[in-house]
Amino acid sequence: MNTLEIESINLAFGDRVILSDIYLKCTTGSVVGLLGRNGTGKSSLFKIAFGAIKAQNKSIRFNSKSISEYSDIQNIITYLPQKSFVPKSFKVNEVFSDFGISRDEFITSFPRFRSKLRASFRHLSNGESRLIEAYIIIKSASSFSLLDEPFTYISPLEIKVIKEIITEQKKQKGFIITDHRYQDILDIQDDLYFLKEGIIKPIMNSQELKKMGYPSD
Amino acid sequence: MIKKVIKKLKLLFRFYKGFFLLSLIANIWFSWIIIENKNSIIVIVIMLKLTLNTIIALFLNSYKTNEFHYYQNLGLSKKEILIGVGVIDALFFSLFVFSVQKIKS
Repeated sequence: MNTLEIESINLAFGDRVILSDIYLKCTTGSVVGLLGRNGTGKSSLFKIAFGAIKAQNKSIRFNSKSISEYSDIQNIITYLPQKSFVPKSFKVNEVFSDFGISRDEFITSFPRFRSKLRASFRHLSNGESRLIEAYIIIKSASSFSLLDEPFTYISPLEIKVIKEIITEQKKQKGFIITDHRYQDILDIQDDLYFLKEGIIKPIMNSQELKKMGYPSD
Repeated sequence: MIKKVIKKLKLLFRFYKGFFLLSLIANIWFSWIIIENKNSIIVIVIMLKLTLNTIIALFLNSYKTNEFHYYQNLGLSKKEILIGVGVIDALFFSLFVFSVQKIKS
């Protein structure tokens, strides 16, 4: 079993503190849900953990060792950013080949994509692109995947399938997920955290979440 | 190990393909400058090429940040991409200038 610890994260832009002494832990077999309103720093936290942006202070540990001691970080963490990350000129086939992921399994889960395997991403809708991007990161061979808004643009029926795939994949890896579709996060999470005013708090149940004023409506 | 290096090279060429046309046009233009002028202009051409590459790198860094994540998820860091593609482009440019000089002589 592997453990990923995101620790002592501090991020500030000028006087504005975004993240303050954040600690988050994920192990193989668990889905960690991260909730919070817009602009609370959820995406920044993922970017820091993946090494895409720098923080004033950070410590990312994999099995108690600093992640900088590993040369192959992509074997440890893969990251689904909020915005589309596959270059538009790339074909669906090529992307599956790059990540070493079975196209047949994908088609079994999402048969409507059979005719789109040779299409380039510029010819796919936002929902189709998002679904493929989420799928390849969920299925990637890393020990942990950070998923920033994996359900955006995806139809409820396909979200259901994606959630089943995450539940299946967590047997061999860990996930940290944030999405505004909080009910979908609640459905699959094993541990839940709430990020507010730069501080992260563990949440035990949905009542506690409501007490924190989330969601606002 | 070799498999990993080949995979990284393949990805670097894939990334380079994204602005190969721009680089080719620049190389043709720079070669034309060399043909029209004497060899002493090579230093200026190299400076121009370096300036262009810096502008491209800054553009990629600012506007293609998310596309970098594709390669990062496959094991190529941003630093590896920028250095690797810089080396490929420098080799391509050198080969181009060398060929032009051969044709000239």
